[in-house]
Amino acid sequence: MASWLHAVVRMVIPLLLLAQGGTWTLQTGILNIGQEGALLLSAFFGVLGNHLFGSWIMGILFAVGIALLYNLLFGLFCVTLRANIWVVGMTLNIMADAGAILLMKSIFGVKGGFRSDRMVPMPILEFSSLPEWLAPYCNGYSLAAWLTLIFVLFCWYVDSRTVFGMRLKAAGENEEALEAAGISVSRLRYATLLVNSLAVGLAGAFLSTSYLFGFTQGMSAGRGWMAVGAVIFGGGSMKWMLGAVLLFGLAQAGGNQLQALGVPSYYALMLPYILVILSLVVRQWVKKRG
Amino acid sequence: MRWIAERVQRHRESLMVLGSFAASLLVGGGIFALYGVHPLEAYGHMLSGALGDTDALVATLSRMVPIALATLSIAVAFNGGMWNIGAEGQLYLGAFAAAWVGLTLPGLPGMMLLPLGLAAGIGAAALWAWIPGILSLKRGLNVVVLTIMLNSLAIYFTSALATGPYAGTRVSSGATDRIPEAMRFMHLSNFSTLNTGIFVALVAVACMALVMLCTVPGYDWRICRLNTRFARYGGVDVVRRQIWAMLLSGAFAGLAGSLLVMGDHYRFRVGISPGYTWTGMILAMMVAYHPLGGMAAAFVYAVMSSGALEMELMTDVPVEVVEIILGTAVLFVTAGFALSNRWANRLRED
Repeated sequence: MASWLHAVVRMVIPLLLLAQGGTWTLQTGILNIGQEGALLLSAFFGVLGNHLFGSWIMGILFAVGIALLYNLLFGLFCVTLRANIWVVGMTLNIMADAGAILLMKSIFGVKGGFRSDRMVPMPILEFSSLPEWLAPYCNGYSLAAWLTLIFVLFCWYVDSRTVFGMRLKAAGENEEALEAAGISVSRLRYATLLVNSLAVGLAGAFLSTSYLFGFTQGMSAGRGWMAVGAVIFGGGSMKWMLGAVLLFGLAQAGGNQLQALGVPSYYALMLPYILVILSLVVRQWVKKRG
Repeated sequence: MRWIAERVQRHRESLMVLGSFAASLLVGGGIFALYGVHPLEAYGHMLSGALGDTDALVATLSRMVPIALATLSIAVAFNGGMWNIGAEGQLYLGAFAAAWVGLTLPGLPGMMLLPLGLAAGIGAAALWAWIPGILSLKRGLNVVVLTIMLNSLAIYFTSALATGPYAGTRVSSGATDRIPEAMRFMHLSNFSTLNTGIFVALVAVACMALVMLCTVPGYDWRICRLNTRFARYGGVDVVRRQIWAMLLSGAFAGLAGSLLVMGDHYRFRVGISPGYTWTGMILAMMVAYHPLGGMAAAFVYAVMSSGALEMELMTDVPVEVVEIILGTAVLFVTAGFALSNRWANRLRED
């Protein structure tokens, strides 16, 4: 049971971070579809910072830094210039993919993947004073898991209990009303993009310095898109987004389990995608009826 | 002076695209300078590597075929307001379907195998595009997320087939056996995979460009993208038009896949497309979905990426710089249109 829980948590962390960040930007009316590219670049910069300074903290800082730059660029086009999000988001995704390979070739002189002995993995937390029956369930998670938990609780609090949270939703639902009340919608949007960069940066660093150790080409493997799926599934609501993330995380962990049981890997890899599609169809169907 | 101003106004969009491309070449020059390479030297290697002699030119043309089809596939869908991000999966499914025909019916004569292979490739891909199309138009699901998920599904599924039941016996793993000779498009030279399939591609592209530029559906698609409500008000059957945009987009992706199997490799293999449709997406967006502009962009990309191999060899600048340069061009075009719309609105308000 405990190992199963660990597997699910490891799958859920990056999805949850990305989906939480994306839910906030969606609340202000910006569907952030650049997540996949941002995640990949962050994963690369996580490795870069970690390798250069031999410290996982620098890894996270580098990852957050590049995510910030990426999201600012996204904001410049989609918030300030009001350009089409699909065009900008897809272009940035494709450029991020090429950019990560270009940087890997130029900086490390390797193709395909990179890892080094100087890298230090993110710490894994162990609590020594826990009762014995609880310990296996609470120990052994990456620091990122606890940071994710704190981040989501923080977002939930701000979202449901503060004026700021109200304004986020107002920015998405009725821009003019908010502007009339004297609040800058663009500022709110940039603020959520900033928070999103923190989440994406942490997710990227987790992916390349904790979940896996090192960077490989295309290692984001559609996680950014799955998170966008969860964001759309939630439609701005945290509750539904959480449900979707849990479902997708379970499916991914289940897929890995199937692989271990001898199901051909490609079929096992298909499972989460089928579930995402089915859940979106069902959700829409329920929405229409209700 | 007035004559010039009128000309500029009429060709505003083309000028914007050309200007953005020129600006992105400058950005590329900056990147080369960062590597300590003279920009003109780097671009020179690109040109000579792609067009320097007949062999190079043929290799460039062969590179252009799948890119051009992918670009058109994306252009048709995006131009009609359907964000078909799933062309990559459609390409894979089409490629596998074409190979499947060859592997299952090896005894048929070429007269039947050739059209059957193309039809299977195009049909399978179009069907794979129809699913998200109908779900989004009739049920209101988000087409981007759907198509992305179907991408992964199609790629994993064809990989599973090519490594499982259809794995080749006389080839290293991850590929099927060769398709029968009767259904192959002949190679036109010994040094590249340029093949007679290019004529099929040419005809398809010409027909599609004609439909997009000179017919009522072509006009309707643009209206559907620019203003769906207005289109509906004007009596356009939006759902029908958009589902056709989706089907045709899938068909072109499928054609690209079939030609890769029947013309280039003569077998299906895992990773048969190194992301042709993603490149096509950049190119289609760069020219604002104009089919002929898209073909010109595909040629430019073919030259740049084919020549980039020589450039990487001589200067150590990775080939991926081409994607970065063209991506920058798209961003410039987008910014240009956004700014000019803004200024136009402001002028009107004044």
